[in-house]
Amino acid sequence: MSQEWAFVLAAWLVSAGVLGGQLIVAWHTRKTTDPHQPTDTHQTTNQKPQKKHPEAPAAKR
Amino acid sequence: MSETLPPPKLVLLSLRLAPWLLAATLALGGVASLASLLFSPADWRQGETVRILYVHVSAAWMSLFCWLVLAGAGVAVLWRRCIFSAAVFEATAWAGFWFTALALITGSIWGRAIWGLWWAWDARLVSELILLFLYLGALSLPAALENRFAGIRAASILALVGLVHLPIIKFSVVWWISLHQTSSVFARGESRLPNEFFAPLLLMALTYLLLYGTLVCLRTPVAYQRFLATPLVALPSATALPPVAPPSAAADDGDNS
Repeated sequence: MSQEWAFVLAAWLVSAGVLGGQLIVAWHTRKTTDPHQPTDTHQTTNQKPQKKHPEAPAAKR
Repeated sequence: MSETLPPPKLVLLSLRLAPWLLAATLALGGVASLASLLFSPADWRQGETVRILYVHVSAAWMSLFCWLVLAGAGVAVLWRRCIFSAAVFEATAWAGFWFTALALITGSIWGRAIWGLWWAWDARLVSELILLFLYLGALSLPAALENRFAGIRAASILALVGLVHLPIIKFSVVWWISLHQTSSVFARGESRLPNEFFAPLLLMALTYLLLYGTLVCLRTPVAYQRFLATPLVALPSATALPPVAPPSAAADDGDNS
């Protein structure tokens, strides 16, 4: 095999490895994701986070 | 207080599209690889190394394309505060980062074969390296801030500002003296890429585009769910929330403040 083909194969193998690896990781992550997981409708970007009230004031009463 | 809703249609659509896009990517990738490695001729000057063109140029094109998508998604994030766009943003930033890295790595191998150099401080190479750092910034900002959506908003601003860099990459070989060759794919006259090279390049570029679509369809639902699972940004409220605490507790809280 000529040196030219060695460079070509190196470039192609790196490309196939990186892109194939990306696909495998993304596919595996997707398989562990449940698309029907319930979503909390109150979590929108326009809402302030709820402030948790400590138990102490309630105990004061 | 919380209701449950099915995920948005776009998330379900991307999950359904992903296997079909993956199949199309693999099929077209096989054809493109055969056309590039077996049926495409060697170049009279570069010899067999011209076959690096197909993976290098496709990756470089996708690195620019992904940044355009990133800016588009960034506009939707900033303007509409859309969580789906934020998920697309994150998925695209990952894909763009790897395409840019591939363009640099394959370019380095090609440079070693043709110029005898792995790296040169050339305008095109450096500008592409800066694009890689910009992608790193877009990926790091959401992780760096405590609030992930606020991080995506900051990264969206970076994506819009980074648009200025795309013409610099494109015209770097014209504006500065460069080792890198000028554009030959869309050139006119004798410097235009011959059709026997252009056809496999087009097939490979389409494969990369399909691959990008597959990656986005696979990663967007995951990113979307992660956004919903983490606390979101505190912005001026557009809709009043129902009170969570009983009124007496709220009054006590007012006393304590």
